[in-house]
Amino acid sequence: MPASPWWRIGWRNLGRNSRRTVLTATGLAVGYWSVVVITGMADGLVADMVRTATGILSGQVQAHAPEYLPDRTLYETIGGAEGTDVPALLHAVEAEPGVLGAAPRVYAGGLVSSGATTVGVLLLGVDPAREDSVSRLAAALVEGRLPTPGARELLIGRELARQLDVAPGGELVVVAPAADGSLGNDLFRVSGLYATGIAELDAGTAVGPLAAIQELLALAPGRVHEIAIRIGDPWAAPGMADSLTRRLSAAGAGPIAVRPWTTFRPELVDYANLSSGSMWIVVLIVFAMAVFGVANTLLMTTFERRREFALLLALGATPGGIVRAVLAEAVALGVISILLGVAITVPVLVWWHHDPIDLSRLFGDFTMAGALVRPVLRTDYPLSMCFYAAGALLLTALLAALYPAYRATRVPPADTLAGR
Amino acid sequence: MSDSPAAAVRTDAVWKIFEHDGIAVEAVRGVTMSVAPGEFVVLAGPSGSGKTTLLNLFGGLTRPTRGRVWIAEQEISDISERRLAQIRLERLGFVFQAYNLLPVLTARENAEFSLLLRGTPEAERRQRVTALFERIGIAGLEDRRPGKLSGGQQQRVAVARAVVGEPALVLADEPTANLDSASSDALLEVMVQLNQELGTTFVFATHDTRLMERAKRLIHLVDGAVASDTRR
Amino acid sequence: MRALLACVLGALLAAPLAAQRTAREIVDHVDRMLRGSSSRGEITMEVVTAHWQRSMDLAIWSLGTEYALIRITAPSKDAGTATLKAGTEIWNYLPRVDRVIKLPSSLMGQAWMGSHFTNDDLVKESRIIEDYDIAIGYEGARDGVAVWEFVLTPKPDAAVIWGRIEEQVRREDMMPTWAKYYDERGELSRTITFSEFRRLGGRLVPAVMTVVPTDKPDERTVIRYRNLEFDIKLTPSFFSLRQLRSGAE
Repeated sequence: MPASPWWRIGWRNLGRNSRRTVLTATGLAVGYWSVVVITGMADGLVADMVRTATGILSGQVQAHAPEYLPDRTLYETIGGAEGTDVPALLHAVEAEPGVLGAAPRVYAGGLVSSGATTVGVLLLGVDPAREDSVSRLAAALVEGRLPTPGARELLIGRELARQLDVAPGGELVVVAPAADGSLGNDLFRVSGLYATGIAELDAGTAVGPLAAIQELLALAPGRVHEIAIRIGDPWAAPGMADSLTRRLSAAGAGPIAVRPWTTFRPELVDYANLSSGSMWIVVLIVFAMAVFGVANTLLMTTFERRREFALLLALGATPGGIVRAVLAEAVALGVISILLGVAITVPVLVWWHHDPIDLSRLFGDFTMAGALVRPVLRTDYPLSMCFYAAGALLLTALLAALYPAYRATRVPPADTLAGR
Repeated sequence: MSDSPAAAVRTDAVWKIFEHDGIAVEAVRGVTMSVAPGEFVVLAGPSGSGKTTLLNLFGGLTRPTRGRVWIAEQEISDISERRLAQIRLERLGFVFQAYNLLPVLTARENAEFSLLLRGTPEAERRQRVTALFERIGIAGLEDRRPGKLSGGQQQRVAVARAVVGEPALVLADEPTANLDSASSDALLEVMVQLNQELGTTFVFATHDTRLMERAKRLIHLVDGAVASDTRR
Repeated sequence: MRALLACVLGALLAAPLAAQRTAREIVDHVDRMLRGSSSRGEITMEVVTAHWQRSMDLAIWSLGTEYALIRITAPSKDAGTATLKAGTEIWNYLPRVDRVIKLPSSLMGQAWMGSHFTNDDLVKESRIIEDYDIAIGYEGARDGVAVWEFVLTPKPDAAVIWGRIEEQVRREDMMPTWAKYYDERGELSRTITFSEFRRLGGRLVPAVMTVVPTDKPDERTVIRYRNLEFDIKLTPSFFSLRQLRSGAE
């Protein structure tokens, strides 16, 4: 027997009414299960949303010249005014484990005009062959085809096409202040239209082949503003950005700033935080309900054992010792519940991660941001919530035990032992 | 009042009045008495004579309405619960009629409970309990839970627990009431033996005549007051 | 007696009104100085930025506030590029692609040809006195020269891009010396200084205007009038899309 008998008494007391113990522990374990699984689903949804939102255009990681953001000045190309060896840079990026694709881009403010109508747009120069490995622009194509590399062709949003009153095959004048101070202007042909559902993309962006846009802007082929990078796990982006910064610096790419989506899409981080914040409300609700159930059980238990508490007091136990005995029982119950909870939670998490719940039979497929989305709930592994929920469960058991413990110390020994 | 300079328990004009549905019941009425170390005292009397209440006053399980109580010359009438718990732990042993043992603890764990709370080292606890179990004839039952013991065996474990810490006073309330006569005799024998060999002070509340016969001092209570106090 | 009182009161009330009219008149005079009822000029525009510098020769025609035409005449790479304002419409001609494009009014605040002037600066849509309330902020000597300093505050419903304009005008010859443009947050955005006051087309005008953006003090655009004629014979029909394209020849 250890130096303090309270823990042993509490633990063994649990075994006295094993059916009640199992029922209570099951209740807590189910609470644990629901909190962790719901969090896993919410995390899965958020990760999916981040993947979708960053997958349209931005990518999950971006590399720029250090001074490029936030002003996005035309001159701040990677490697400065001399530019860089773009294929070597892309090769270095793709050598990083976890990188699924990388694409070079140039950006400039400019005008596109059909003559009678002129609209200020963001001109985006891309490598059509590479863009597909990073963004879903190609998937968002609704009419025509992608621009041919090197050709003066533009892929524009369907809404922009409507404003300009052009269709694929139509001709547009593109005007943009070029890097040499001249007014870059040229004729482009509309190769195709896309629709992403995002207003600024559909109404305010024109995408052309990298070489043609560079020529318009008087930028040498080695001058690009951005390398957009796609990775598998969006939550790995910050770490990936750090290791890419090290790798590219070591590779002699010159000063370069690599940023994860958490920096350049802070609103998505806000959404993720909101989601995890709301999970705490679920935790609060689930365990607040559990508190009363557990408290009720413990109150019954301590009432049934009031003679034992009276005896303990008669033998010289302090009220503190009695409290410890009841709390020890609650902690033991909590530990059993956590073990049970983990035992029923982990298999479900693994199952629904590898074989996500498919809701398409209920809702059908839908398109979001220009991409076909299957409504599947792939649960993530909410590792930190596994621990937090366990902590919350223990806290719940302890909270629930406080009042019964107090009641146990108030047993009058003489009357209780006399059976009164 | 001054039988001995260091009485095991001593009272001075102690009263206990209970309120039951607005009616005051005078359970103990101005008892002044003293028990010296090594005595084997039986409080006898019919039901309602106040013997259990007096025993509870001795043990600090009930606070006196008036008057004072000393355990080993430490006044306990108005000290804190915490201090009282400590005095019970260090100076007193209890044997009750029933519900004496914690069902989740083994016989040994029950017996060594007060030693454990006092912080006695494990080797000493083990040695003391083993010796005591040997002495009172329950050797070999150390690892059984109370549910696996007979009523007589349970009460012996309770006695072992009461005396294991060498208290100034063991208070026993009807310890034999639930036992058959053979078990009663055996238990009684154990307590007499402990009184003689170890000098443990016992105070009983009982109406078991066999126990009264073995008393060295028999106090009759009637209506909460001492009617007779006979030493043999 | 009553009539006398009315006269005194009237004079007292009229005094600030007279001062206000004076301020308006002066600012309006400066505003119209380089325009006349119609004008034709030749300008050299030099633009210096952190990344490049270039010089362009421009020919410019104007008629009232309604019509203006600006055409690049040099360098040859850009020659023929032209901007036409007719009423509320702005058109650009791009000789390289031989296309005319119409600019939406939302682009009026954009830089013109990479300079530090906006489209709006070059083809002023309206007269300053119609859009701004004008007050005298300072009146007296600056470096021994008697000047006025006016504070121009946009009228509540005026569609202008500035939060406030301050302008200094020399008393002696009504020549502007500088104008400071503040954004809506009240921060200085750019400064235009006027210099080389000369007689051009029979009028005393500042022949050189220098714009310096506050956030890039090393950059500037300098406009130099090489010659200027006022009140020449121009009709609205001159400001046509055909005329816009004609510089290509």
